[in-house]
Amino acid sequence: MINIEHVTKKYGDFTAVNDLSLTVESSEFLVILGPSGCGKSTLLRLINKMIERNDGVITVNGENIDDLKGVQLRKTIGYVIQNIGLFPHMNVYKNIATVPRLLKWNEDTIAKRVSDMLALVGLEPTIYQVKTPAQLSGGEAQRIGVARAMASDPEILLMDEPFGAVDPINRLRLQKEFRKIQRKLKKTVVFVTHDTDEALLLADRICIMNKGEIVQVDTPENIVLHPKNDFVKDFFKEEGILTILSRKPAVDYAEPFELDENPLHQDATMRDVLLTMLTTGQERVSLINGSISWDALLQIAGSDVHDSE
Amino acid sequence: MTVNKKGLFVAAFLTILLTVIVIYSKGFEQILYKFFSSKSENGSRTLLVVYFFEHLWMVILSSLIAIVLGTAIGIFITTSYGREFKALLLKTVNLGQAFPSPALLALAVPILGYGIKGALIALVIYILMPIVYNVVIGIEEVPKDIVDAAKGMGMSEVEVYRKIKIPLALNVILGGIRTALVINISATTLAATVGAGGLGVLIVNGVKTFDMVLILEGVIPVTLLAIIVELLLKALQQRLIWNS
Repeated sequence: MINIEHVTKKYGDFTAVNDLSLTVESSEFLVILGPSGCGKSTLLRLINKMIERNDGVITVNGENIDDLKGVQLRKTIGYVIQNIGLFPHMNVYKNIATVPRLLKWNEDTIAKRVSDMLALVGLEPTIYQVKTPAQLSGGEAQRIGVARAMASDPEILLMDEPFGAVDPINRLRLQKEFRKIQRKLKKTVVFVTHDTDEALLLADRICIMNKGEIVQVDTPENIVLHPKNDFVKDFFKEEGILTILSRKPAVDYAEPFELDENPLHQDATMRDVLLTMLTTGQERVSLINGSISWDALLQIAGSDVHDSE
Repeated sequence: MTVNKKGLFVAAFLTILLTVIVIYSKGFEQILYKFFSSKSENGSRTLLVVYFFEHLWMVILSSLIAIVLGTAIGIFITTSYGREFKALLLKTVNLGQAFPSPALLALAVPILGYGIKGALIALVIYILMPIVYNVVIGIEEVPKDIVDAAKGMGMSEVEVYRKIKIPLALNVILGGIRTALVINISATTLAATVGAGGLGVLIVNGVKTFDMVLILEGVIPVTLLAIIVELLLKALQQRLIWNS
């Protein structure tokens, strides 16, 4: 758990983070979203003491970070940045082993951990651990970056636009994989991005920042359906609802009404259901455990709107 | 790697040539007399091998001091502690190089007297610049993201230097040392002017008496030594850097 209370960071006359308070719950995936220069990266770097704040209190798992040395604190928090920062003079094994080695684990434990981490991010350990960063594709390098950040099994991961430099197709795959890993391992993640789709896809809660302050913190559904002001509304535009639908597994909403046709695959989302309806003209789409009608889809998409009225 | 091997082959050949010249200096003189007229007919009175080892000793000593000192200064001014001294120290080091080297030696005499001590200090000051500059450039050119990632994973400043910055800057640092050594080998000939000996004695005496044989007897070993050192360090550099 991370607790941020009335934190301020100034660079000369410029206030990067202004009297900001925020709590990140354990195992929560919190995405900090905002335009560039809004102070989101600064906020992230205040948490692991990469930069010192001017005012306020930050506690990590109940401990005031002022009581910890920066070096000590950072060894317990995973950190992934946009350009990954893999060490080019070390092979993949040594890169992933960095923090375990700093923590002086014994080499057998490290070797096992490295191969577990590679398997976790979907790369064959025996092939990949001897490669150098120059031999990796962008997507592979990013996976190694995630594996490296998780090598010492930190409870908290700080990620600064980690998938920003990956091509769109690989980005979506990485996002989905990483979300699965996060759910499985129950890591607390603070994830900075300026990409609204990424935020909607990954977040348990989204914290929207502008000019060093929080504009709105809420679940993706609530933010899209009840934007607090025009800034938030403009940020998401109208397509937000599509991303919300893509977060909802279709099987969860199936009605017990079997159709005599090929069902959508098991991982299909409500967005896939909508697309199928639009492209085929059907008003009811078959699923493996039933089907979904157009009316039901409308209700699911707008459920929160109706609830609030 | 093939370039590396070719370089080592040439270095080995030149080393043999240099060894032969230094050991059989009398024969070497006789060959030179066939091509050049000279006032003296019996060459240098002191054996070439003595001058050669004086020269080599001064080069080794001054280079070691300059490498240690230059690397220390270079690393220091890139750290958070030394950053404020950076401009000042770089200017000072610059001045050492900009100052004409014979004058530098001449100035060392009244302070330290004739002999090897003054020569060594003057040489160290003279070759400090390429070493310090390359250390600074090498370290500062390590990509910010890599340093950021290293710090973010909990490396202390010392660990960042030891594991990340210096290994990644090594290529550039060694480049600086190579330049410094080659300059040093030829600059050491000036040590003769303050009575520190070395191959410069032959050149200085040769120039004074317009004796081509004496000049060449000093110049050829110096040049060979410089080329050999350059080739060996280049090979070492290629072996040590991470992306070779």
